[in-house]
Amino acid sequence: MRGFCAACSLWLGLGLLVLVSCQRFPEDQPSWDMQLLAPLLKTRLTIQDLLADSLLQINDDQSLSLVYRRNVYQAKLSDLALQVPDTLLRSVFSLNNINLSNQTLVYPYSLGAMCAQLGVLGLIIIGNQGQYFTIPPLMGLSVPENLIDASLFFESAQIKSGFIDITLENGLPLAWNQIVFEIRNFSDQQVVVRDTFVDLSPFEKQTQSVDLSGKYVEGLLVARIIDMSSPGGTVLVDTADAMVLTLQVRDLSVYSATAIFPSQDLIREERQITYRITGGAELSQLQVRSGLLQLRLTSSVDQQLRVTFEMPSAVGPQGQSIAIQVVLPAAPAGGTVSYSRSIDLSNYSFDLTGAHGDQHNTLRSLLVVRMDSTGQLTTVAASDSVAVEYELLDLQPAYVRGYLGQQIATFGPEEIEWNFLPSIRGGHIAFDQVSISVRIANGLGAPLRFRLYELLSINSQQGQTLGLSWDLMGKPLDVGPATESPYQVSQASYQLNPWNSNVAAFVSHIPDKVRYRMDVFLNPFGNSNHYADFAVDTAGLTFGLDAEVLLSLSASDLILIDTLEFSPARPPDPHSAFVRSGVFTLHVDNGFPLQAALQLYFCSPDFQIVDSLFTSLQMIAAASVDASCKVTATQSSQLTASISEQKMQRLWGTEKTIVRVILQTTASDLCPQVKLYEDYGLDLRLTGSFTYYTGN
Amino acid sequence: MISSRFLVLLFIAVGKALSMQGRSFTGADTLLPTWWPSLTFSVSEVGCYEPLGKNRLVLGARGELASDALPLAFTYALVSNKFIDDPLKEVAQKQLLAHNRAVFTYRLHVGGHWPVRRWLFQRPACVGLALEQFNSLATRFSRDAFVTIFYGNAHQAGRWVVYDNTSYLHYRGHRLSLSARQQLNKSEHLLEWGAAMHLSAVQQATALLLHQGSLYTEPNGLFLDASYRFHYTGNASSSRRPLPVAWAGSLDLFGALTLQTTGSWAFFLNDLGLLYWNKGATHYEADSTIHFTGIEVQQIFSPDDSSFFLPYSIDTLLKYLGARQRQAHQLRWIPATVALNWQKVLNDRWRMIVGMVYRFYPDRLPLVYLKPTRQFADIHVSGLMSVGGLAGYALGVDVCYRPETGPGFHLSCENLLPLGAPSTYGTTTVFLKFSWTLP
Repeated sequence: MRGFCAACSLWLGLGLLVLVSCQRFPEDQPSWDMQLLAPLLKTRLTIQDLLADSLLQINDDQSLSLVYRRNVYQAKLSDLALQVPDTLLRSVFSLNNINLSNQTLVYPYSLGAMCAQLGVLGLIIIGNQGQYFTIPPLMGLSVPENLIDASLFFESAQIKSGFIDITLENGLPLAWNQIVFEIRNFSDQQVVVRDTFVDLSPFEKQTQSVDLSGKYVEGLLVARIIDMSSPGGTVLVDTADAMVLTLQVRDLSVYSATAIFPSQDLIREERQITYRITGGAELSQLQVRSGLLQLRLTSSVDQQLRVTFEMPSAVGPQGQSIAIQVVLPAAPAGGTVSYSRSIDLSNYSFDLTGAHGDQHNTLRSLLVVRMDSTGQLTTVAASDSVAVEYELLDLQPAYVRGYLGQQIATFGPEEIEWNFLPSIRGGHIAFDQVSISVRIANGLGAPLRFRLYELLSINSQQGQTLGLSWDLMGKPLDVGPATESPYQVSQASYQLNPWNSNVAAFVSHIPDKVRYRMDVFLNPFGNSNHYADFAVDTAGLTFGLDAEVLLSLSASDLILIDTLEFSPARPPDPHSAFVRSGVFTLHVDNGFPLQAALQLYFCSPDFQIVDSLFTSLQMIAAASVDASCKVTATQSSQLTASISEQKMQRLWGTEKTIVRVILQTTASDLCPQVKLYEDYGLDLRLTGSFTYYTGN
Repeated sequence: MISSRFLVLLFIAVGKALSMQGRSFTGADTLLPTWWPSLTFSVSEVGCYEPLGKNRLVLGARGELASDALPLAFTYALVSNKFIDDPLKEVAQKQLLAHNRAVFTYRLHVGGHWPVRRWLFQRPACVGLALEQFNSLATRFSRDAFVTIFYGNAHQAGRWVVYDNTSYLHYRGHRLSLSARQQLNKSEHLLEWGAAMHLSAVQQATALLLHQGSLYTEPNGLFLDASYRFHYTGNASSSRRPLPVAWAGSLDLFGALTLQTTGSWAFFLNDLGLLYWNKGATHYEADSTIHFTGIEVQQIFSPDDSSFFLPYSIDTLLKYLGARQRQAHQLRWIPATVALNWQKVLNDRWRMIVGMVYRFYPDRLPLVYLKPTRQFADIHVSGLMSVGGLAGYALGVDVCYRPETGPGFHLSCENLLPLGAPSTYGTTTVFLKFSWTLP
């Protein structure tokens, strides 16, 4: 009855299928489970696969050595002494050299004018015009004040230095015993000049110079003859005859003046700046990789100025020099005007030997501030100034030459990774032949001296440390300077071997880190190169350790652990095929003289172990060796993993796999150590007998 | 659904137009009813009354699940996309022969035919137009192939298994059919003939011909040895793809002679035609042997994203099989069917039909059948007994209600035995047709 009902439903279903469900076919598919038995993967692992190729070295007898090169310390030019500090130079130039132009004023003083100021005697003399007249001796005559107007040249000036030349030409036929002459400012009545001419014969000319330093002079002056005396005599009276007073001001330099100034250089100054570079470096040449010159000019002068700034010792990449010419407008009253500009100093070269080529670290600069004559009255004072600021910023040297100085740099204690055997996490290993070279490369054109004070092997997994003992520990390790033409780095190597160190124990300690402490002494012998040291920024110095280990070893319970971004099973997509469960067998033909216990742990993304591959200890047997400890035949092993459906589903959530291998050399008196050769390998074949769901 | 409704309305309109012509048929110009109602042969339909001279609309469906080895329970689970569990597989495996065959087809049919007054030889004819949706799957396979496919090769480790002469053809799509038939009505006999042309737009078509194939699985799975020579043609189409991936063209030929004394003889030749894959079809062929020991992995510690335990893909598999791939059009014969039938009217109520039908692929033997029919007014009830074909032997039933005018139906099953024993019998059909005969 049950079969009949089933058949009826089947028959009806078939009809409905025909009528209704035809569109489903064949996008959907039936599904079932299959028991598959098949080889899945095969591979051969050699020691090259287990270790990076670059670490391995094949020896003449095809044995393998592990070579590990690690730079412990590296430095470049900028890391060392040769750092050019940022420099800000600010110079304020006062107007200490304001000049006024030379000027000459001529004042004729006729006899007629003179008589008009002499009273009765004057009238008598005038009355004898054209006649000989005997003039009596004259004593204590004075002439009233006469204005001298120099305001066309200046209104006032506080004289810093300068002279006035007073020339008195006696155009009268009368001799004079003495003439006392005075010039005063018109406004403040200060006496500018008082001088005396004596024994002035007829038609004689006398000149006297008066120093005006420190005097205040106005443009409108008052001249006056204070005292005149003459012996008298008979003379032909001609009232047109005159005494001619000539005033010539010259070499006037003023503290301040309101004047029509001539064109002149207010400031012309060349300066040299000497750097102080740490370590006492004395450089004669500096090529700049990068850097900036920041220039800023500030003027308080009420006059347009032409400013020229030059750095004669700098040459640009195209051979150009640094020369900036700028016109600064007149400053407002009581204010200043400014100008700023940046110049990229990349690839500029500086001659640091100064103006005469006998200095170091010295930069030259020239500033010229020029004032043009405007024909207008202008007030300029010595308190006005032009300030120049220039700043050298972020100078990165590309090349320096000279004496690099003497200094000692200390490095460490510092820990660095030491991935010599990165996967080993435990156990014991003993290497037969181990050597380490201390490698020093000096790219500087100056001698160096290293001292290694401490090198500590750190095995983080076991929490153990082991210090390196070495005959040269703390002793000088010298390396000469690099050569410049052609450029060649200087190399030095110091060998650590079992006779001068505990290097074998150091490496067998399987460090994952090392800690070092050392110092570097630049120019330990002083300026032995006589200013011929050099350095380029692309070169530096390197302190490295090169370890070379012959893969001849004995190992006991050596634990190797590695982590793979790998999951053995992915959660299947809906309707897709997947493996339900199965028994997977790893067929191993071991060509290494090492036996291994293998386990794989499958982990969640956060490394939580979800499951393991093997439920029992699975061993890979070691290959057989002959009397010479070389492998004669591979050894076969089978590692079987049974994965149930539940276990497979657990593996769906894993994303990482931890591989854990425990290695062991087979203990033998004949072969306490086994050597690994290039042709050794591990042949792996994975087969599966598994239930496969076809999907639908 | 909309297109089907549109077609029905179209047929009604065309039928009404044509019936205006056929309304005046009389005497020799009139098409007589026939007992061979369709040019496409089926045991279910032969012997059913068909008034050719009238306009008719037909909506029908036919499905077939047949195998000479696989029980219906198994094939039904297969075609209905169920999970095939081990008991079901065991039921099938018990009945496997050295070589086995199976067929799954269905066809949805909407169409009609109408009499026309003058056609070939200036004689009346009945012309038909039909649209079908079809799905056809036929296969031959060895017992080992079944075990490998449904159980996996683990059960066959340590011995050679043979897949020789395993083949497979599946295609599905839509078919447009035009048909015509005429009668020569003499006093002592009635000669009928007809022909139909089918043009199919195929949405999916795949064919496999494994001429020779064998596999050896090392007992520990360390290697697989395989030898094979096969051709495979397929495409990556889906029903959502708008354009057909292949085309099929075929002919049906029909002839019948009815003598008053000896009864009626009929001959059918169906689906004589070709399946044509266009240039997008992918063709694989290989004639090789391999010794497979696993996929070589270069970087075991840097595996890609593929599953570690099953890193195979179809491309990987074909690569290891050394199959040559090319993309080009392909041509293949469609499995044709030939049938020969004899019908005798015994009296007013009983008729007897005897016949033989053979599908060139995948039948092993011709199917010989006997179909006695009892008529109750407009209802015809037939029994069906057959031997050969894929069923071995079969018992079926057929009920047809076919009035002169108006609606009718036809329900048939060529083998009822799986109703009682679906785990034993592997072949059955279901046929259902609704018709409407206009006055």
